[in-house]
Amino acid sequence: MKLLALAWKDLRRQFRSGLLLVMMLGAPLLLTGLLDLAFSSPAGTPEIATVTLAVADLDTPPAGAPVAAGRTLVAALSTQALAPLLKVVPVDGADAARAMVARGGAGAALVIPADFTAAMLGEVPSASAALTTDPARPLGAGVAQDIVRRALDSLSESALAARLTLQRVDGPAAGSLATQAAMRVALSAPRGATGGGVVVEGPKGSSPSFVARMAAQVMGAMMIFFVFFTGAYGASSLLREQEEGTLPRLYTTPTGPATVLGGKFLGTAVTLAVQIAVLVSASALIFGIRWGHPLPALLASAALIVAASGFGVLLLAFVRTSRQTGPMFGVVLTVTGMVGGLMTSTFTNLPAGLALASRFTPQGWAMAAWRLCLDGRGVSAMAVPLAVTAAIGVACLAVGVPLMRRRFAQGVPS
Amino acid sequence: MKLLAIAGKDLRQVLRDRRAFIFLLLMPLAFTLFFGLAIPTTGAGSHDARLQLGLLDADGSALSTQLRRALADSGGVRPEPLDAVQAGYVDDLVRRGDYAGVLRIPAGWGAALAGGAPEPVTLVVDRSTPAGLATAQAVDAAVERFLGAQRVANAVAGATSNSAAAGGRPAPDVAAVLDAWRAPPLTLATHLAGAGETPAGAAAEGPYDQASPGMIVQFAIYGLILSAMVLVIERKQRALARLATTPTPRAVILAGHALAMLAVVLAQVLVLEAFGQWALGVNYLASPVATAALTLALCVWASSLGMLLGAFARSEEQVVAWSLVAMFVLSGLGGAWFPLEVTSATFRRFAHAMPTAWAMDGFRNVLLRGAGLAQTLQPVLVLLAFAAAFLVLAVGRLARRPD
Repeated sequence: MKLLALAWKDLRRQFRSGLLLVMMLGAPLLLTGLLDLAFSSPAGTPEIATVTLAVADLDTPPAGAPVAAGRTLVAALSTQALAPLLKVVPVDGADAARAMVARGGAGAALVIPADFTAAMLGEVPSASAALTTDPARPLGAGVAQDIVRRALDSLSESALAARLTLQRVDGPAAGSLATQAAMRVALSAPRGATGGGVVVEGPKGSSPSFVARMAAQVMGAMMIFFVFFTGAYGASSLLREQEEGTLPRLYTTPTGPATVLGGKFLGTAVTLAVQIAVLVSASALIFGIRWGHPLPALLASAALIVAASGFGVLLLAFVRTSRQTGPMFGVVLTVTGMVGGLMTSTFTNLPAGLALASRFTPQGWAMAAWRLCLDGRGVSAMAVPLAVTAAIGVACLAVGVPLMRRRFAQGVPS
Repeated sequence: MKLLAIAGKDLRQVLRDRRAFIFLLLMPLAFTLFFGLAIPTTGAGSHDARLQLGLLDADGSALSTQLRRALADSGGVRPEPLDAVQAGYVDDLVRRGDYAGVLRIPAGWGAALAGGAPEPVTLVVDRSTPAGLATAQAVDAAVERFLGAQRVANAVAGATSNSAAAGGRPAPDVAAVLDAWRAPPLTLATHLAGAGETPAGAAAEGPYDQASPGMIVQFAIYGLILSAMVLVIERKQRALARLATTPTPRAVILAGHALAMLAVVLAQVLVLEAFGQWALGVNYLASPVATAALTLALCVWASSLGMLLGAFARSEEQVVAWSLVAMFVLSGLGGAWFPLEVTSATFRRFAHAMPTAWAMDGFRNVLLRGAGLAQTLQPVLVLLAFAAAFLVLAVGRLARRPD
């Protein structure tokens, strides 16, 4: 009964603290909400803003040229199909086009050189169009670059056909054969019409949208991050009681250290369980996050509670006063959280070293377990991360609890 | 003199606290280094940022080998053959993000292509993710170039097959056309706007060009915890009210506190900028005057926020909680964590209601566009306007209820 009374007292104290409530519940929901807001779109995929492309067409086709390649390129870039991605704005002169980018009025500027058609017809070896992009908008620059490069490739194909023909044949017929080859390419059926190409399939079992999955991963990561904070804060309540003098007074009653420690541990574990339950339920309601099947989620929660409270107990061994807890917990939990991948949960293509480093932190293993849970995987698939997460927690408790018993057995600082 | 004495007292109080070093410097440095390391860029010194593409080549023909070469040459993806075991769980590999995509080349693909009846290759990719989108785009472009090479080879062969002028010389095959693609007739030279217009890639956005100013903005807010706490403690202990009974004008007292906050945040930002400039290669000195104006405006605004927190918070605990919320909201919405370019249109519009978005705009203008003072003036003025509004609120509150 005493154990329950102690746990209940701690619970009430923790849930009355405005700061702790912000850290436990407010911050993870707020952070997830911000990221959800940042990337959400009606389609559930990242939005790509339309890029304004200032185009200066300086192309001067040679006399009698059958085609004006510059004009063809501009027309290819101005099609209706590309309109959602690219808005072409013709301007007079290269300087005006670049100035538009410098002013922020355009995401990119394309300057088509004077010898553009001549290069396509083989009268000069090559011509280079210049694309100037805004370094502060790399995403838009990439889109513009990809579209322009594809359009240029299409024109280059005809020119290459003509050139390769000229390399194969000689004599008076060479010119007309080269034109014929170029025309064959230009008039060949548009891509897709003759088969070939790429058929894109989605992986089976993926969740419906990137944004929903991103919100789930961020929420999972932030929940783990702040659960570890709560675990450490819960453990440090012993220190505060010692400093406030309530611990020695407690020991004047017929209450042993084991009961006190047990009550503290139970209080922290229940706090963590409530925190996880509230965050999981609230995020499911607010962001529509699907946390997977109940049993794996329950086991992942249990493993997280053991790891967070164990880690908190271990950390407490390294602080002497409650004043030190803030910086100590802040630094250690932030660094281990970062290394554990909690700040980069949605990043892809992380350097291999960082991915490996996450396996050396309890947060990294907890995240691995929750990731699988969010993927809707079963207990067997999660067995390893669950076991490692819990084992780290148990190991931390095995080291930390005897230290705490020794330190807090008398109630006064030793 | 009194103003300086009050500011000096606050400064001593803040700097005596050992946590100052952690909150003001250690944490922002750790975050900056970590995010710079984690965010892949194309800049020099970063790891291979090409997306990993699993490859299942059931065809094994000369043409499929050429396709693999075209993919490797594309620069966007890094093709890696999968083994027989991995072939059994392709969906998992993609879903888990182990591979950005997996490309299947079916058996008989090369023969069908050579016979003029091309079959498609299959790309397993999650197009709802940015990596998936980029992979689909890169693979599509590489395959299209490859098929284009095939079209060119066919066209040349078709145009010259009956010509005696060919003199028995063989028509170029796909490999020969792909070789010719290495020096195409029409090329695209890319440049970054700004001083020198260096070729894109060589001077593209570096890994710390977002992380460094982002963390400066974020921790300028977080670092206020200690300064604002000094003010709250003075209010709680009624020292502020007692000070008001002395002949020291109330304006001087408040200005002294504000000056101390400004000094703390200015010192913090300058150290972080210096670290960014000399240790991380972030070019804050691209336009020293613009950077100086922006830094000062940011610090004035941040200290006005500190005054606001110090004026309204009732306890140290509230200072910590409000600082954290302010840090998360203002940094997150203001583009300190990720460039606003990648966010939704609604978010971008909303973001510029935050002073932090203007600070980030200013820093990115200087660092990436090499912008001068004229182009940085708007962010500077907006920050100062926010600062004025916050100071009016804070001073109003402190004048009415000093304790």
